[in-house]
Amino acid sequence: MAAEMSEAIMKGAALLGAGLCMGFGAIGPGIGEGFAAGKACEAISRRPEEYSTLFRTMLVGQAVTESTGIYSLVIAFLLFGIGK
Amino acid sequence: MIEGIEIANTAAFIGAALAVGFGAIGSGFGIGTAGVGATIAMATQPHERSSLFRGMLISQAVASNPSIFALVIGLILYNIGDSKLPAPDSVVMACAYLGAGLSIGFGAIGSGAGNGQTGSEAMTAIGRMPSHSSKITIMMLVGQAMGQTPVLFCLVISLILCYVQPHATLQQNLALGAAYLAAGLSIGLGAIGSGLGNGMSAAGAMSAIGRNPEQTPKLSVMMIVGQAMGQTPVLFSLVVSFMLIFSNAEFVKYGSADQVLHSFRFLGAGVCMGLAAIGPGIGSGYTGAALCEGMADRPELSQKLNNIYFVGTGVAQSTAIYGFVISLILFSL
Repeated sequence: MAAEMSEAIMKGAALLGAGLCMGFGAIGPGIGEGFAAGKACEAISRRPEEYSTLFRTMLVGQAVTESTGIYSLVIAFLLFGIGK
Repeated sequence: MIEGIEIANTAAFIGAALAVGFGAIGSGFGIGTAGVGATIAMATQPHERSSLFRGMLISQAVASNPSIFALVIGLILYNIGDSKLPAPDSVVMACAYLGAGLSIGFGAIGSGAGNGQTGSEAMTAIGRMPSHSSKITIMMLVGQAMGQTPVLFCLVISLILCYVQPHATLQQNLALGAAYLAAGLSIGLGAIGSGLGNGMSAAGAMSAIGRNPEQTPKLSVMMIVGQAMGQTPVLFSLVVSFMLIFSNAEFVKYGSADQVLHSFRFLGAGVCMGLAAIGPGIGSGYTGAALCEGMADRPELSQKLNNIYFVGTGVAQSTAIYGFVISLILFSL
């Protein structure tokens, strides 16, 4: 019974950890990517002729910002492997 | 669970305190922000004092709504704690009351602060364009009504959790209790981001109307589109909350070790979606504000601005979708 309970706690902690990991990990990229897109809108209204450059720069910047969100996703999936 | 202790009543009192305590943060901040905006506008336009004062009071009244919702839930929970419950030792009811308090408490933060920001920018806009004050006031109220949606979702979940009635055999089931607590956390935390973001979108639209009032019809459409996009993360949270509340069929057969494992799993699912919705909500709101301001300065660029806006917000929503996926996997493991 004690062994069963300690295994349940270990697995449960891994699953809770997966949720916390993805939850906190999503805050930063969400704010950052929105900020990048907002600045791109401002820049377009100032220099509309640079549309394609700005669009490309925004997407590259957002892709790099996304990386920490993807790290969280990977760690969450690794924790699923323990908690399953 | 523990003999002779009425944990459900105790939890209802704690839930009432959490609801009103957290709920007052956002509205307090928002009402102050609206007052600052109006004061600055009065200093620049002293002869518009009366219309600015009226607008300030209207926007502050709307910004105080989320804390009034929190007060209502707080009073309901106080009455529940004060009454004689059928199952005063029920762990599940205790968790449901805590969840109800946390849901409306956290949820009121974002909408209160966001609506105040909208009011502040609207006052600045009236100070700049006093001849369009009625138009700006109407748009401010529309924007604030949209900004109120996340806290209304929280109110619905809180009311469900206040009056939920688990089956008699499930009263001490840890897994069901954790699911109710997680449902409250999911929508409560998720509403912070969308509430703030919707306020930012509407604030951007207000400042845009103040700069270029001729574009009001176009700007109002852009404001509502921006707020609808900013609402997506909180809708994911709402779906996860409903799933946590209403799918409890197999809880009866859990042993005590299973209950511990599944309670962690449900808490993980709720907290994951709640936290993951904060960032994308705020980010989408910032983008929506920038879209409205760009549109006011250069209305002829609306096509290009729209393209950038939709692609940019779509990418910013991606982490909310990751959170939703992880929640669903946790839910179905």
